[in-house]
Amino acid sequence: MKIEVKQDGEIFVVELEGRMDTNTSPEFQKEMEAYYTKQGFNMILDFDKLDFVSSAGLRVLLLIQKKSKALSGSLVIKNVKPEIQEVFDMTGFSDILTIE
Amino acid sequence: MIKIIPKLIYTLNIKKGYKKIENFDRLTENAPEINKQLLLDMLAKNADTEYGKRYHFDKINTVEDYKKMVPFSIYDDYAPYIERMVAGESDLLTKDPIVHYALTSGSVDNPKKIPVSEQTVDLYREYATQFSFAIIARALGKKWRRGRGLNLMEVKFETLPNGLFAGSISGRGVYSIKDILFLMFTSPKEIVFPTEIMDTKYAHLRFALMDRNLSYIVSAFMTGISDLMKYMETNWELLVDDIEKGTIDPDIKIPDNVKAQLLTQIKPNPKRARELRKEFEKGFETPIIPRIWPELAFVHAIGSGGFSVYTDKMRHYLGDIPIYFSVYAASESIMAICNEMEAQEFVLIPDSAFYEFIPADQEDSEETLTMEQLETGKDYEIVLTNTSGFYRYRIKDVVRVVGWYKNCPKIKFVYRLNQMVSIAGEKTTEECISWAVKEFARATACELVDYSVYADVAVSPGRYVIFIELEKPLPRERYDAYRQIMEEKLGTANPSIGSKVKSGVLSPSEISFVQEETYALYRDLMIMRGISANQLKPVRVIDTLVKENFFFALVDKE
Repeated sequence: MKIEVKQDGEIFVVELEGRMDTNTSPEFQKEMEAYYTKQGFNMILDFDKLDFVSSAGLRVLLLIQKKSKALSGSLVIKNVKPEIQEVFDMTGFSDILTIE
Repeated sequence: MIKIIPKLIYTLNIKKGYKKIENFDRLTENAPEINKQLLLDMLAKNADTEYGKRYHFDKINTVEDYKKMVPFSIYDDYAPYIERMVAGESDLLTKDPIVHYALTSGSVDNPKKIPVSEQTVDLYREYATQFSFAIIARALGKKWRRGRGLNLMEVKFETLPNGLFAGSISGRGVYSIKDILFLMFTSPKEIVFPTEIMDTKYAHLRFALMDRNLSYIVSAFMTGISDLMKYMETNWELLVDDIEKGTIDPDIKIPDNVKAQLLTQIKPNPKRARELRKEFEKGFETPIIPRIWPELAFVHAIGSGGFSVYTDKMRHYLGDIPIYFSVYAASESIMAICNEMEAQEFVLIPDSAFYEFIPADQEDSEETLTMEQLETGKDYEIVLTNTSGFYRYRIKDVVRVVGWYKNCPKIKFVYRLNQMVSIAGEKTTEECISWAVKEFARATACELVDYSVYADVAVSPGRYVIFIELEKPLPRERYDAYRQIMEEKLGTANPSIGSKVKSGVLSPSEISFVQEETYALYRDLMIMRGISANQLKPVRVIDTLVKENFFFALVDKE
């Protein structure tokens, strides 16, 4: 999975490409740590080029979401492909995450 | 000084426990008579309650009278009374004061509130704590140094209109020792009594790891301990860094005020950190627990039956450290207890509730048996009259009589009636599924993480779908061979499935391998929704639309 972080003012925009699965999720989590551990962080995950999210990927998203609550930050997910949106809907993540 | 006090507290409990064992031996000699007398005493005491008057408890003189005059009951029969009790009325079901309401998982919007009397709380304390500790002390002798333990039972209560607390029954036990908690357990009260959702796995481990002399681990269910060990395996570096520096990583979700309070109880401990790092760096191939906690003598948790997959995982962390399998209990009553270390059989407690039994093959029968009429090897549904005002209550558990202790049956839990899967009358129990999945794992040399069963009636005829998560995926090209192995194992576990598949009444069964970390994700979600990690039971039957959607969405399709 390719991860590219851009800073737009106080917002971190993370462009993801490929697959967020068992193999790539640990690396994704590690790279994101620097951002989601900051008080009041604002993060946008751009899923435009992301093709797949597995259970392991969902666990990392859940972790970042929990951090955003704990640190008064925000997490927004954008440009979700229909097949990933379906997974979000079926697993109940649509009610937990902010998806635009 | 701080080491002597826990020892004194445990020694006192053990002393009381030895007396309890002596008494238990007397009770079990005459178990059927003791049990019948308990019923008659409860009926006499509660004759003047609204329920007692309705069913003429004052006219009941024998067990046979009781069976004739009082009908079977379920929770819904008590719900209207309980609502009035919660609003402040008393003497409706029992004359005993109710001191707590145990919340159990009914429907999401309306969990059951099971009344718990002072007598029931006492029984829990005497058996689950004092008796249990005495059994462990008797088995382990000086191997148990009686130092502080790691307790994973958390107390999350809500206050009801009548001023009483509602929450888990295990939490009630912990609440009753809240003033001496810090002497018995490593986790501070801020963790044991969480007021907000926080990363309690980190918090429990952070304090337990600091204590080289940790003596034991206790949890309501083995799932909580197994998950904690997995967390430790993944996050040991962060934990050890924090122990070294005397910090709590900012990444950890703990409310600021709680964090500030916890930090006052923490000092940098580079020596302990060095010791831990050295052991963790050796890896987790050999049992880690005896290496990091050399005095740890036992684990105390419900871990048999449907929990056994987690117990198997724990053996890998524990090595030779024994497990005490605790009790067979529900919010309604503590019904049976292990009287040996490592035994997975439970002796009915004759003075805790009055028990009736319906043979499992006659579930529509109105006739019940009492304990002396039971036969070894046979399965029975338990019907309970408890010490908190439930009469002839069908808790929907089926147990098997596996032997006798003196004149009292030894049982093991077999399945819950409402967790039984039956598509065409074949009645497949949790035990059947568990056996078939474990045999499948053996035959295919794979390592199980977790499993569930789903009755798929969207196809015609219906079929069984077994959801399995494995540590490492099996080769996809052999999927059909795996499916056939599972079919064969299911047919052996429940021959009715085999014959119904052969005759076309059922479609052939399917296996759905779910993606790695699916079951951990499910538990993460439940915890995020406020369920205590310690209260999470395994998902054995996919029986709701929420579970169905969740697990089907995460099937490994690649």
